[in-house]
Amino acid sequence: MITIQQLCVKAKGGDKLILDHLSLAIPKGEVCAIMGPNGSGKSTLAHALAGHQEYEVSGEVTLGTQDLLSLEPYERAQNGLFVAFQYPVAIPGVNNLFFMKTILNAKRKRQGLHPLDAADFMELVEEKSEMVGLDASFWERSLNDDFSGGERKRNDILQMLLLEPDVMILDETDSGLDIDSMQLVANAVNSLRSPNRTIIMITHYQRLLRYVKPSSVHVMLNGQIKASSDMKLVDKLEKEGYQWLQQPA
Amino acid sequence: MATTTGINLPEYHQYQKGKNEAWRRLPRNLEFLYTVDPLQKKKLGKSLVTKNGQALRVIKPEESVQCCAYHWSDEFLYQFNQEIAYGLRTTLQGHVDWKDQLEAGKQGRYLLVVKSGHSVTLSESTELNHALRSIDIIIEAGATLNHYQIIHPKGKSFDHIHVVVEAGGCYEQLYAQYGSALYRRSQQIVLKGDGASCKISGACVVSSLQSLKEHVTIVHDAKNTHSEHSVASLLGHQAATDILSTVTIHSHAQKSVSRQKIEHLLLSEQARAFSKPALNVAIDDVDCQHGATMGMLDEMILFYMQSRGLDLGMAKSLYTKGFIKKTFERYEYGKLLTDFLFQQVDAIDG
Repeated sequence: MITIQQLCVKAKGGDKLILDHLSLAIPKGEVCAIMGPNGSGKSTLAHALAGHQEYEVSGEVTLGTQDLLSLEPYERAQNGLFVAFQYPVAIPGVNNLFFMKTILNAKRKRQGLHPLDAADFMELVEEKSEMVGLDASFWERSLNDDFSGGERKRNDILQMLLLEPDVMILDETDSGLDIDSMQLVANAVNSLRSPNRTIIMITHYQRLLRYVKPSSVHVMLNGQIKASSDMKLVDKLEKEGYQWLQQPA
Repeated sequence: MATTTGINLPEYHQYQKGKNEAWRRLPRNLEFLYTVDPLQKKKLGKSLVTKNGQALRVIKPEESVQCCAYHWSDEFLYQFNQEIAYGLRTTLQGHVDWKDQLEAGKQGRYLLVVKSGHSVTLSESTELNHALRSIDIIIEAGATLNHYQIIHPKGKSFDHIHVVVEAGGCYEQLYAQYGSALYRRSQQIVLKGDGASCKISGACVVSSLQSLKEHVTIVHDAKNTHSEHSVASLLGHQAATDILSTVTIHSHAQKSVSRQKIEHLLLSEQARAFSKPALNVAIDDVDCQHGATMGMLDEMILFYMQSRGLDLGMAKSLYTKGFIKKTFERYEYGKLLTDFLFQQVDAIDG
């Protein structure tokens, strides 16, 4: 379970609150969607939860029983948080397969497990790669280097499948994916659905939500949660947009 | 200790007034020690040669003195032995492993030839310790030399490589080098015949308080010639590097192609890097690209790696090693060069 209370976020050195006393609780086992117009603070929420240093953050966020905001970015990941970024970075010279093996074995080490041997690791990567439609040619390349936008996102999902985190935040993973890739990614996300995991999908469109059905939908506006409901809210947004939420009550 | 006087050439004075870039830079207050071989009857000495090939000054030590030290207070571009006899003249064939070691105060001069039509791989590992070395390489028509270099300089060391590539010949150099108190390397590659080509790629790691100066001049002296020069340097705390890459294309070198790329990755705000990719082109019908980048570690990359559970130290290590590795990853002997530099990357302080 992830609980966010009165979360305020602004850019370092800036005055404007991007997230303005945002509160949200997502129980274990739930799949939720966060929607909202451009500039409403959705990606900032993902980055702030992951621990990006560009932001000044106050409030309280707990992941299970852990105070998330007191942790370094790598400690947040080690405590089970995974963010699939909107724009995954490219790292020339860092082999994709080597990176996957490094992050997986780092996790296993924390769990007191032996590193996977080469054969077991390759078997696992083959299985997970197939799920996201990335063949072996992608393993030998540098991490996300010369990957298309869609390939980078599928590569992030591949890492997520390997790490099997407790809380997953997908920041507009669906944007830039073709129809087939969308289906693959959705299937991959669905494969991780479990009573012990929380999935948060940040999106602009209902396409992904038709494949990965969320149990709750939240709408962000001006750095706050303005509406919460189920899939009916998505239908309403498709028809009416966000204007009705911006009008004063 | 002999001390030279200042330079008295019109071009140098123009440069001092900012008008002649060809005279650009290098170290002031340089000290250099070398030994005179008493067995050689011929007078030993050294010339300082400018980038445009003009002999600036020949310095001759006193014949009776076996060990001399020079304090050269002015700027110069090339340190070049013209009057020193070749210690080695050889024709290269097949695959050659070469370990070279020059002890303190020594100087060496070599002539390497690749005969017409031959293809040679030269795998070189060199330690220079307060030494001066000069290599002349001749690649005859249609010949190829793949030159892999691991260079470990110590103290104040100097290296000069002069390569002539004849028609249809190819010189490919892949190098890995450390910095040292001062390591100064100048290379001049002359593409002398139709269709000659060269590719110089390298990576260097310059640790705390070390200094590396690398000057490469590529001369397109014939049509249809092709050159590439790319360097990646990783600089630790208070490290300094100067990388100058100059391509000169003469008026008769139509359809020449050149590429230059210089990258510096600084691990500390106290590190200093200087890049100058330069083109002197005397003709329109050419295809040239050049670029240089310089920057600190990318915070987004570090954040991305941390968000996957790697601590900052591990993220930096992967990042910097990746920066080095990308230079070598497509080459047969690349792993050897990569491993050599990784030892230094592990020890570098940012």
